[in-house]
Amino acid sequence: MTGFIARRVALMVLTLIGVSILVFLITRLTPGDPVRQIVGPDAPQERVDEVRHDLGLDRPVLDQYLRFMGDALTGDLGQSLRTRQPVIEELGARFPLTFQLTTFAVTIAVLVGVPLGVVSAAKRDTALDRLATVAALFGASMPIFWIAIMATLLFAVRLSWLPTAGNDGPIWTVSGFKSFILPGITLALGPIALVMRLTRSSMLEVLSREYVGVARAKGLAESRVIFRHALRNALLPVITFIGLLYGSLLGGAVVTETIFSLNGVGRLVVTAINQRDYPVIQGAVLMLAVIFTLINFVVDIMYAMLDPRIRYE
Amino acid sequence: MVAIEQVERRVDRRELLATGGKIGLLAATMPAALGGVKSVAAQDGDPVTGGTLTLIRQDDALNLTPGINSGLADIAANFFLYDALVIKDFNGEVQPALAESWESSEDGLTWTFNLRQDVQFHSGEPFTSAHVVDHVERWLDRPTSTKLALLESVEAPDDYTVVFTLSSPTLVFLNNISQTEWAYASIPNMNKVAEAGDEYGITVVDGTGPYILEEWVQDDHMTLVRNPNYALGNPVYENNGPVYPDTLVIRIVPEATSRTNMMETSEADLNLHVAPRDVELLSGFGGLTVESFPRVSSNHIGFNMEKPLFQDINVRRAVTHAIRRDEITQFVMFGQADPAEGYLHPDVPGALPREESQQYVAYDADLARQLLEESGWVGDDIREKDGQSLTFTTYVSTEEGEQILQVVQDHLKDVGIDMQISRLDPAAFSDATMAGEHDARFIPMIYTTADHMYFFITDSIPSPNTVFYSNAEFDELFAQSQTSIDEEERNALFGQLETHLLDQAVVVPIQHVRWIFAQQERIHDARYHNIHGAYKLTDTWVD
Repeated sequence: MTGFIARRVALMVLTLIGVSILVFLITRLTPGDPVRQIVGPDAPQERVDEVRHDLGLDRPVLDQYLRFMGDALTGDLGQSLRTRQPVIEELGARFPLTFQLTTFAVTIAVLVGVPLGVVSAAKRDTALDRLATVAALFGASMPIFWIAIMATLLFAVRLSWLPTAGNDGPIWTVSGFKSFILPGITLALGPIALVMRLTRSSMLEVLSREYVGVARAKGLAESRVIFRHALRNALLPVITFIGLLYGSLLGGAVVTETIFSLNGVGRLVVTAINQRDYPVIQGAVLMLAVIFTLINFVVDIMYAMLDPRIRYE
Repeated sequence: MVAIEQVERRVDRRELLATGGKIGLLAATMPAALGGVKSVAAQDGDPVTGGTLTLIRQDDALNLTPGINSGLADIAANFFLYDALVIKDFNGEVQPALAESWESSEDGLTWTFNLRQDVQFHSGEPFTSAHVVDHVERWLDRPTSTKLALLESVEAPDDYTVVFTLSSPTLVFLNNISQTEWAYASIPNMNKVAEAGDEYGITVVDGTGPYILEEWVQDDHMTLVRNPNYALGNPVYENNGPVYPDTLVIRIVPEATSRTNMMETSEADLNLHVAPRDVELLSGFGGLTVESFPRVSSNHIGFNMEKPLFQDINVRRAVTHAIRRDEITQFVMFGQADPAEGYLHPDVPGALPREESQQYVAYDADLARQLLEESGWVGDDIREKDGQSLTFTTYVSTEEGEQILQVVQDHLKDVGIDMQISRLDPAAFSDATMAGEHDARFIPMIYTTADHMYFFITDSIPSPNTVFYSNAEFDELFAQSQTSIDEEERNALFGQLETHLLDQAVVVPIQHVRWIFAQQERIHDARYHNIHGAYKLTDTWVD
């Protein structure tokens, strides 16, 4: 296990270096000059050169990259070109909201998707199975912006149960929780369907295994067979998927954040890309990559712990 | 729609033109304002003190240090937080604000301002001339300050006098300093600026304006509270004392539908960015009023004059005459824009009378076809000449611009021109058009006066002159307009400049956009400005 963890950590470091190089190069290869964004299109060339020098953008790309990584290792992700604030502070201000939103959405996806998948598999080819499948696919097929607008019109505009947009505090407060309900459910609809389908197919595979047949032959109650013997094994691929899902939602909730006016990391990154705010783009992508690889790492460890047959050595 | 019609009746264009015409001149770079707009719900009874006024905007400010950038959101917030030495009233006249009087030397090179002695910053520190000097000097050192090349020095002979010395006489000076985006238009507390460093404008703001910054969560909301010591000391607003609401909240809601929903649920009082498509919907709701009024603007297509195709004036004129502008304003803008009948907005002093300008832009598909044939472009479908198709690509950076171009594309196809559309994000658009990669580009130009036609002089190549137009006659006319100290003469010169642009078909005017606001019935005495939009709202109160 120790060797496995060491290899995974080494791989994580390599991945992060790769991501940082990629994002660094992509931002610099994309057309659009950040200096012009700052000084305006009418500024004379000498002023442009001066600001470019001040920002260190006139140095060779390799030099810029090494400086960025050197600073990043000490926790300094640079200063936003747009707001002149430290990137770490900008991310720190946005991340809690995205974290709460993503965690809430993933929780909903698991709490709804897994039971639906289990029921679908246990009641395979029944009306219940078909209904659950259709409902899940319906949720996954609807574009997020459409779902968001319809849900807002119903629950916020017509029924006035929930706020239309914005964040009214942390999720553990009543008003905060209410402001997370619509975006959380909207963001969770696609993942619910995916979790449900994955759980269902995984359950079906496990339920056809011999040890499940043995458990039934022993006369165990069906619920015990399903939850004690089948589900535990069927959840392995689901856990891996949830890990990946969590990572991707952290940086990919832009549409939800925009429609519900939530001030999260996704919106920050999109604005930064539009303004060619290199430090913010680099910092945000690096942070998301670290989180993503960490989650993967944890999932791998859990995988090994859940399934004693897995021996990574 | 009733409310809109009411507004349109009240905002008589000729009236605006007349008032705007009284105004002085503007900097070639960021000219000043003209007329204003009458309040829609003026004199709604006795104002009530207290309550919260919630505004919604689509985008947020970046930094509340005056002059650090000229984003519209920054300017809008700074109207609440700061005051200028002078201020434009709703008729476009310059009125006293932080300065109670001023005078210029006979040669027009020296401007002396006498400051009010009873003004305090939000922190309680007294406002003096040192703050003005400090701020202007700091600002001149910033990247965006080059437009103030005319300013040679600023001095404070005593605590309440400021003297500006210019390098050449100009009529634009007074107008410039009424613009909040200019350094010496909004004065922050120099001690706070020095103490806070980079934090100034983000976590620390100390101005003299009607509201005090209490909290700012960038891209989410800004909470401002009443400045109890405020006194504008001028006749621009009826209320010259502290504002009525206890709190002003500016919420950032990027999605248009979400903003509309928030108005329906009364979560917001004033939507400063109503999407044209939502006007009818919002107008149908009880308790809401929609205000739609002209905004000085000229959305237009500009040709890249260095491209061989557009060196042929017949092609440029053919494009201009092939477009049905009313179709664009009706179907893309839902009637919330005005078809261009010339280049300059009709409310701008110096704009040609429409009966003179419309001949250059009138829809005439037959004329367009004839012009193309004269130049040898023939064919039944997309025209050809010497084996080459009549095709070009127009760059655009906004969604609305792209929708407009899709209609234009259809119109041009009718006369045998194939126009492709390339949408880029703003940064890439700016780079590509400066590099001259485009055949043509569409921009939603918003300006304040005809001085913005410096966009088309040779010295402005490659930016902002992204049409790469270089014409000695145009340059000369523009230079005259900038040195003339006779207002009538300047306006006549602007008319000639507009005629030149239209006659040479350098640009294809499309439409003039509008301010569109929605407000709840509980909002009273909100007065809007056709240059500055919501402006300071110091008369406004809530039930």
